[in-house]
Parts: sequence; C-alpha cells; structure tokens
Amino acid sequence: MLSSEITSAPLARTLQPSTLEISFDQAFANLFRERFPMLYRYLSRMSGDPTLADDVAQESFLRLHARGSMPDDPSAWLISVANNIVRDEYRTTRRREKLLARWLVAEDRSEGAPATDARLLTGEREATIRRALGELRLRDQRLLILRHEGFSYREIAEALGIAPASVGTLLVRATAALSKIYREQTHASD
Amino acid sequence: MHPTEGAWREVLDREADPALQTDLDSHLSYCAECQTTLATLRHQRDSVTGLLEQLGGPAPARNAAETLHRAARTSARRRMLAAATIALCLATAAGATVRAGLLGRVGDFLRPDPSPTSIAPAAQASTGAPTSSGVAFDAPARLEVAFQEWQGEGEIVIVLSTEPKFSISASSPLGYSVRRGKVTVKNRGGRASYRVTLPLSVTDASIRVADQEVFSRRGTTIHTQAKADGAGSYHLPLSQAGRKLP
Repeated sequence: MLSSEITSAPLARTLQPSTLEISFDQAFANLFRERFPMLYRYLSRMSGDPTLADDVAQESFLRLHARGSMPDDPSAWLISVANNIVRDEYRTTRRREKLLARWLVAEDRSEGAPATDARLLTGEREATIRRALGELRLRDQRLLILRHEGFSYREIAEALGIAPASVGTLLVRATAALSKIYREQTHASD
Repeated sequence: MHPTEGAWREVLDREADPALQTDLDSHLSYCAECQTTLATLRHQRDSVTGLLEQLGGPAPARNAAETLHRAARTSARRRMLAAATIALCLATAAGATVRAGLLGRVGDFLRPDPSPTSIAPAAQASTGAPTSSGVAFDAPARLEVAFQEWQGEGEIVIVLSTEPKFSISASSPLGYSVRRGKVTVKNRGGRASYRVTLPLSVTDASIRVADQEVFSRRGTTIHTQAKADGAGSYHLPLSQAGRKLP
C-alpha cells in the first residue's frame, strides 16, 4: 500500500544510492498525497486550530523527508511526531498565550462591546462537542479522532503505544463515554 | 459464549481478521442478543462520527513538492534573518551606527568572511570610487580605539566634542571592527590620516597604536603624546618618527 515496502531495509540495501533516492522521494510524495489530509484533519479536530494543524502536519512530513528513509510504519511515525510537535508547541506558547489573552482583553475593552453574538451561537455546538471530548482522557480523544479519520487499528496502536488487539475494546469504551458525556451536557443546557 | 464488544467493533470497522470475521458472522446469524449489541455499537459509533465531523473543516490543498519548496525558502530566509539579527545585535551592543549605513550593508555581515563585526569601508558616491571610510556610534562611557600598527605616514587628529556620537574616519578605505566598546582600526600597511571625534561624555577613553597608549582621558584628565592645537584638537603623527615621542 505505502512506500514502506519500497524502502524496507533488505531491498533498500541492494539499491544503488541514486535509485534509492528516487524511490524515497516517490514514496514520500505518495505518502504525502494519501496521508496529509488525514493527518491535517486529525490535528485540526484535536486542536481546533486549523493554522496549527496545517503547520504541524507539514512540519511532520518535513521531518520525515529530512529523515531520508521510511520508518516501518510511516503513518504511525507521522502521528507520533505530530503529537510531539503539538505538545511542544503548547508548552512553549502557554506563556505567550497568557500575555496574548491579557492583550486581547485590553483590546476588547478599548473597542467597546464585541459584536460576537452570532459567532458565539454558530460555534456553540462545536464548543459543546469539544467540551465533551475534552472530558475524555487524551489517549481516548486521539483514539476516536484517529479512527474517525480512517487510520487503521495497526497504525493507531503503533502511534499511541497500545496493543493492536485492544483497539476495538478501547474504541467501544471511548465511544460510549463520549456519547454519554455529550448527552448529559446537552440535556443540562436544555 | 458471546464475543466481546471489542470484537464486534472490529467487525463494524472491518478490522477483524478473516477467520474471526467468519466465526462472528456465524454467531450473529443465530444470536439475537449479539445482533442487538452490534446495532447499539453501530448507533453509538455513527453518533460519535456525526459529532466529530463537526469539528474542523476540510484539509487545505497541499502537495509534497510545494511543501518542500516552501520549507527550503523559509529555511533560507530564517538563516538570513538570524545572521542579520546577530550582526545587528553585535553592532547594537557596541552602540554602533555605521556612518555609511549599517542596514544597507547587511549583505556584508551575511558573508561568512570577514567576521560579523567588521565594517566595510564606505564608498563615496560622489566620486564613484572608495576614497574614505569611517564608523560612528553613540559612545559608551568607556571606549578604546586601537590602531594595529604605526604607519609610514599620516596622522591622527583627535577632536573633543560635545556631540554624543563617537566617530572615526580615514582618508582612504580600510576596515574596522567594533566590539564591546573597542574599535580596532585595521590599518596594517596603510598610509591614511584619521580624524577621531571623541565625545566629552566618554569619561574613560584610550587610543593605542600597536599596543602603545598614545592618548587617554580619565574623567577630565588627558594624557597624550599628541600636540594640542589650542582649538580642542590633538594631532599625533603616525609616522615612524611618531613612535619616538616620549
């Protein structure tokens, strides 16, 4: 399916350097075409930040390209790298966000009452879903969204460091938990 | 015995291996309880799919070649910006404002050689050929000017000034470096004359030629081998004869 077969170690060792280089670039292009949208959507749904998702997804692929060879499971590798980048990004921006939040508050005050009612209403449903999702363990959030994006059980297990045989069971539990929390939240707000 | 919910989820997601799938299909054909379980799991999965679908939009159109190309461009820009920032920081640390226009000479700083703090001689646009050079900056309280060596000819004119900027100019092109309040005049093999404008705000100033101090100002006290001209300027020959000053 993916190019990992092309650059798997035994074959790669028998290829001439120029052939290997072409194979890797071709494999990279194929992987990018197939997996970039999935990785982007996973990151976007997890973070709620399309710009961050775009940057992180591209950065993950760039790191793969810089690596120069395909890992055993390229999709799982990309997910792991993307998760690490997001984690680091949140760490480094936490302080910046606090400053930014203060600045925005000051700006809002200076501009009078914000005309954001319509925007708030539009995003209310999404916010409720995100709140419900946020009640789950981080691993379960990732699990649900990765599966939603079509990553295979094997890829999810590899990326999240769980046993492949347990993915189905964990998905059942996470799905039931999210349904329950969302139902409770929407009933509470009615 | 009934299969687990996890196994049924694998069936729903088409992730069950073929042998298990066959067994489960067989079980399902006669087990009403598992049929209910499967329907419940499908309903929950589809509900959650509907929820997750509302988070985030479609992926932007990207391709590998474009991403790699943009990254290469960004990387090059970052390297240039980093180099320029370092150069400007170093110059700022010395309080330097190059008379010839530091910003216009960022390209000189970005070259790997010479060192980032060296300042290229200024070309005079009026003649089209480089005829003089100089450097000027807001003077720190402590300053040292070091000429690398004595010359066959030429002189240093030191002018005490109420202006806040220190400056040095030469009658012919040569290099300078500015680092932490120390200006090194790269006059090796040169024959130029120099004009040093020293602000009175500099309370600890030293001018050296080939490691020999030829002018110093500590507080308001001046020690020098140069001759005062009565107009607030001091003249110091850079010729070999100048070395023999007491």
